[in-house]
Amino acid sequence: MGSLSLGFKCSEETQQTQLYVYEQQPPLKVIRAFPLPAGGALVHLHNISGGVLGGDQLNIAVDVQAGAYAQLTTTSATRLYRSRNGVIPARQTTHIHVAEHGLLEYVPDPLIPFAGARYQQQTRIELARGAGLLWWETVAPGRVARGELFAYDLLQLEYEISVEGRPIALEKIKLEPRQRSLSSLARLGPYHYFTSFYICKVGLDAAYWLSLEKECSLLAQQLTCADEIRWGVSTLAAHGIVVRALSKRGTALAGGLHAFWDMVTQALYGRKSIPPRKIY
Amino acid sequence: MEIATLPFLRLLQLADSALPIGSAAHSYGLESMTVEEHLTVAQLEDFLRIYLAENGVLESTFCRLGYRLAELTDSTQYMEQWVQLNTRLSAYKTARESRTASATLGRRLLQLVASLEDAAQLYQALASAKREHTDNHYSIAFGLVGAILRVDEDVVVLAYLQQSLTGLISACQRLLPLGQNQASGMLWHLKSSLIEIAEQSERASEHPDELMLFTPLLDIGSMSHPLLDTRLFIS
Repeated sequence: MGSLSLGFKCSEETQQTQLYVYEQQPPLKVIRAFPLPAGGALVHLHNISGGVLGGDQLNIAVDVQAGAYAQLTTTSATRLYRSRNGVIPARQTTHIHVAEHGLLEYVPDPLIPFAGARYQQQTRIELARGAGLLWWETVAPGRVARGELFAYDLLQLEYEISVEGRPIALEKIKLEPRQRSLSSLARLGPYHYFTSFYICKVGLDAAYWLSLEKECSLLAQQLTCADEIRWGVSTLAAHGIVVRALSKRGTALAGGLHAFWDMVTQALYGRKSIPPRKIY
Repeated sequence: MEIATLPFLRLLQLADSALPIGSAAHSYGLESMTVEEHLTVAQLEDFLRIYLAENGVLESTFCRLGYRLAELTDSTQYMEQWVQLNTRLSAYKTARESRTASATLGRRLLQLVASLEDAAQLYQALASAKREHTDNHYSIAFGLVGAILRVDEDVVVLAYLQQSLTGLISACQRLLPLGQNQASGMLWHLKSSLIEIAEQSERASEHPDELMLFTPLLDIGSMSHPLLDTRLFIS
């Protein structure tokens, strides 16, 4: 049972966001926060096991307080290891709250479910007035270099983004590729990797989001390459847009996500995005 | 299962593709799939079977939940739950065009039936959604209307699935070289899938928070639809 509880507060004196570690139990760990130029705090989420092991039960809580700016990333791809028979699926539960005019950028490396992995992930994000969220998740088909494609047993991912208790985005998927093929055009088709990038800022009106959808759709069109990678953009029911992509290769996704990140950060916050320093 | 004749005839009319609510103008991303992903007639029946296993379960479950709202006698509670249910389905529908299509058809269905039947719950549904800036989704509206007509819940869900599938196949007839006999055969062969989906939705309705949906390629197709050079459909 691992747990991590983090708080981010904006100092009134320095206008710099500071990290508060309320609780951390292995294998989850953070070491320190790195200051970002826009007053934010970058934190790397470590899993000292090197990945998620069968039966792991992990809980993460993140509280971004009013006006604070937090950026969370991982140190590398999250490996989801094979589960032994009879062991309950590994599970990660994440609760995130972003208070008034806070901003959370959650930009992890991909999830890689190994052959035989059984993993459930539930993420709930609650946004207050004026709160911002830039949040992505990319899922690989497995250890592709070993020729391992969709050899996992269970991958269940649930995301719920709410504003003042009202859901604006629900993504709930349960993949059991050994029982139900994912290659139908009604599911993944010929693609292997998938990603979702949610971009929210509470309070902006529908016309604004429609305009941003149009702007981002043009970038999606430029980044799309027939039979290789497909990008799409849509407004959510309120307060945001979602960017989705499917790809035959993982390498092209990271570059596209960063291009969207930069575009929407410029539009929403009037500055460039500040990617964490690492090799993608 | 016994069906009273007048409600049955009314249900047949509401589930007919000729109902003037605009359902023939929507492909829900299928148009992009035929253009960008080369969906072919040969793939279509399997594609629709999987589509029903994903989207069909979701929508028919919400259809059931909409049906059950008609039991509520407290109008305040009814309107709150109507808004909650529709807000939740909107959150599942992350592709704007498909979400808007569903909301437009749902609103028009409610308005049409409200002009034919004296039922306060139809007006309350429309008014509460407008007040709370939420949608009136087609599947939920169909369920509510079926309950108001006093048709059995399973029959309403099956009629909903049947007419949704008919609409998709009809769209494919305009997008693909799919003949009338072939389309009829497809609709005929998929009836057993409709029954399975309706049964699954009965179980899913007991735990609606656990509803799953994985149609990413179709979602992206719906998202890229506005950028197609030529379009036959609104969505």
